[in-house]
Amino acid sequence: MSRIGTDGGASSDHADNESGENPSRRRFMRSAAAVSTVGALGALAGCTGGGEDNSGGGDDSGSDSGSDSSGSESITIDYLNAQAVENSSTKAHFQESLKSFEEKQGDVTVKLQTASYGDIRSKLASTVSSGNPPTMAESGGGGLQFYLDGKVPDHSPFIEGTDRLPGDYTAANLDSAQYRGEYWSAGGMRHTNSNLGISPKLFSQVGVSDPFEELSTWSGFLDAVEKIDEQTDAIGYEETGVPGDLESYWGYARAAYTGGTDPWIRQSDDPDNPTIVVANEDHEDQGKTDGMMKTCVKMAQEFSSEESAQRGDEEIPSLMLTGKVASFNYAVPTANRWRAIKEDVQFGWNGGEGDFMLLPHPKVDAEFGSNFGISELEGVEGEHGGHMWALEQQQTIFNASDAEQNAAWDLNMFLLGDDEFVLPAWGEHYEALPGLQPKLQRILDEYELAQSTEQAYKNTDTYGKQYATTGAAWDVRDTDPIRWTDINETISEAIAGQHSIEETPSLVRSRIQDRLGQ
Amino acid sequence: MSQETAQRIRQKYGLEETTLMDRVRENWVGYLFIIPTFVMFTILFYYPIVRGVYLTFTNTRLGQAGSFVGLENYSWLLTNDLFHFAFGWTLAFVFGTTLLQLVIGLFAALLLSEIRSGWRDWTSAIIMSPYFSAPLAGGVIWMWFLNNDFGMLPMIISDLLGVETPIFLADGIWPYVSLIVAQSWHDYGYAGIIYAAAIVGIPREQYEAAALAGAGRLRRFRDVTLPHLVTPTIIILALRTAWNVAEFAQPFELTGGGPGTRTMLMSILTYETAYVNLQFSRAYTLGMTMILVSMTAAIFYVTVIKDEEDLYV
Repeated sequence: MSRIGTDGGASSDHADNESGENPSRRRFMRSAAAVSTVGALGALAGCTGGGEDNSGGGDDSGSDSGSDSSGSESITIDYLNAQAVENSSTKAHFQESLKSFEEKQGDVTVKLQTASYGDIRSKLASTVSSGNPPTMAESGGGGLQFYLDGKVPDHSPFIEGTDRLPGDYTAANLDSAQYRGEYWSAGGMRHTNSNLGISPKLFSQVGVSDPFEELSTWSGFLDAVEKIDEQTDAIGYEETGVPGDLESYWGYARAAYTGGTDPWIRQSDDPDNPTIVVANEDHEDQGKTDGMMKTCVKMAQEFSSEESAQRGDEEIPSLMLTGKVASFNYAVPTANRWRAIKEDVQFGWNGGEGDFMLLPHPKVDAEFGSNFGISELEGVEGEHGGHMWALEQQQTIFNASDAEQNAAWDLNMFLLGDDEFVLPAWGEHYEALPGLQPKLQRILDEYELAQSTEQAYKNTDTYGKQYATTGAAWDVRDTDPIRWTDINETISEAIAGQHSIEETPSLVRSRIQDRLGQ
Repeated sequence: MSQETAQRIRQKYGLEETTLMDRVRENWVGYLFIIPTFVMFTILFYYPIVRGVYLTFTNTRLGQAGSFVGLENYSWLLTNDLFHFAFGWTLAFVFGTTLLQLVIGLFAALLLSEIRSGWRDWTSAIIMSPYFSAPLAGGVIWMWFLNNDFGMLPMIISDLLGVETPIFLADGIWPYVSLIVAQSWHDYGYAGIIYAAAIVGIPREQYEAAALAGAGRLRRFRDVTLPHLVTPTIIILALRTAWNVAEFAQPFELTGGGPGTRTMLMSILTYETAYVNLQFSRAYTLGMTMILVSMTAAIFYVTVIKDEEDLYV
């Protein structure tokens, strides 16, 4: 907005100048200077995020539905959501489902606003700071900030008012929705999880015949990746090393432990001063945590492309389907993103002829440390299914009238628990794991799923109890900056060669300490 | 001469000291016309700026007002390694892109001035088109153009020249070069438009006179064209510097500050601080630095033009 204004100003000033009068030139230079300064100020003003940004992308879904039919007063709720625009078919499904929700409720109108996951945080921040928050939003971890600032009510009364919650929540949802024992969120509609993804063609080429057996440990996996690296032109293992996609590392970082123990931060007696395990000389688990962090950087440096510090997970399917990449650790249940690249993609091993296969993250075995030259991991054993995304999808209800909040809660329960919405949403339109545990089996029974989706579901079943989303259990305010910036960005810098493998854990530690004020 | 007459003469030639109220009374219609703009600017611009300055002295976070913390944010800034790097790289980025935009814009304008009418409109539309494309779209175009696996440029270089291509967005100095080139591509049209207008305005007679005096093409460019371009150059410099300091969308799309944090610009760092780390007050503080850079540059340019004007007086 300001940009158009200033550019226009400059060119009219310029026309003045062309008339050839010197005094006007001086004036015009002054205004040019003023305008340019204002230009930079505009960047800052843009940052204050004046609330005028809340109109874009809004979709009014069926506002004409039955509000007149019942005698009671009709209620309109605003619902901001990113899930609905993950792909075109989810959007249609959301719109239809919301219409049927409105019909069922009779007196509720839902105004659906959408934003991509990249934009939703800034969009939400600007609507909240302008005093005009939606009634309910897919707020992700930002919702916790709003809760701590008093913009979001305690969700316990809503949850206690149901007969199926919190019991039916998945472990990851239960973990994410609570902060020091209080419910700040209504749970997330769905999760995805990260797993090992391989190219059966490339792995069979180097002699792997039973991936579930041979790639079940890090040593076995390493052995196969080394062979691919030596015997083929393909990249044996590609780290998705851009800070925003290093959740791959979050997935296998826990594999040095059993039972889902948190590798990074553990609660202590003082909730504001949790124990940082990373690079903690006094902690017995330091070696496991530091060892897997070093494994991440070393795997990237030894096997991944030189772009791996920049690599986003969206690029992997096209690279794997063209035989350029053999494996990565960011495989998610969503089969559609593979079909989008190649319509008849072959999921699963298929006698070594498949295009893409999903496996659990390998287990850390006692020999892996010495095999890969990471001394901290010598003799260490552990296993873990992967990382579960749960914080990002948390939905929160904002401060509003009781009637609006109740209607929003009804909508939340509909999105969590109504088979008409849940089963097609996560079994068909965007394959993912439902937010309520009992729905998992329902989807498995209902749909013929791709190998990758089915295996991701099985991994959840096997490791579900210990599955946790990274950071949810830390119960600190700065969960997001710690995981995305202090951990991921620092590791990404190491992959980009900005600092050495050896100093990475201690750098991560000092950044977390700064963040926590320790 | 009486006191009264002297005052009348001074008034007549506008030499009389006038108070603000006098001026308002005299030009009230003018003031009336600027009131709506002034009010809108106050609401949308001056107030947020003043508030932004205040917020740098608080610990404001996402959606929360925060309390006064004095200079804490500034001391955080000065002790932050990533900021030091981003500051230096932003200066290099701004210098590189502004300079390239000037040069390419000048060539584009000269080229257009040589084209006979008819094709001229179409050619100018095509040449200036990057400037009118959305910066994010420009980022995507360049990302695919430079993509190491599927991109056109690496393909051309390796197939035609048989040379191994660097990885443009990751390898050594190349991400820096790529960002500067891509940004120059996007915005040179701005310089081009202003230069083209300036060149059109140069009186033909001066070229004829120079030609008659035996000046060749290059000489005419140096002695006739260039002097007319000094002022447009300074305008372009001032405006492009400010905009390039604040440039965000295309670099963010292309490298996002990576690999690691190796191409972290202040604008990207500001975004990250605000929307990933949710530390708005620190983001404002970073914004202050960006303003400072733009203002310093603007003051420098104004001083230069003043000196240049003095030459003509």
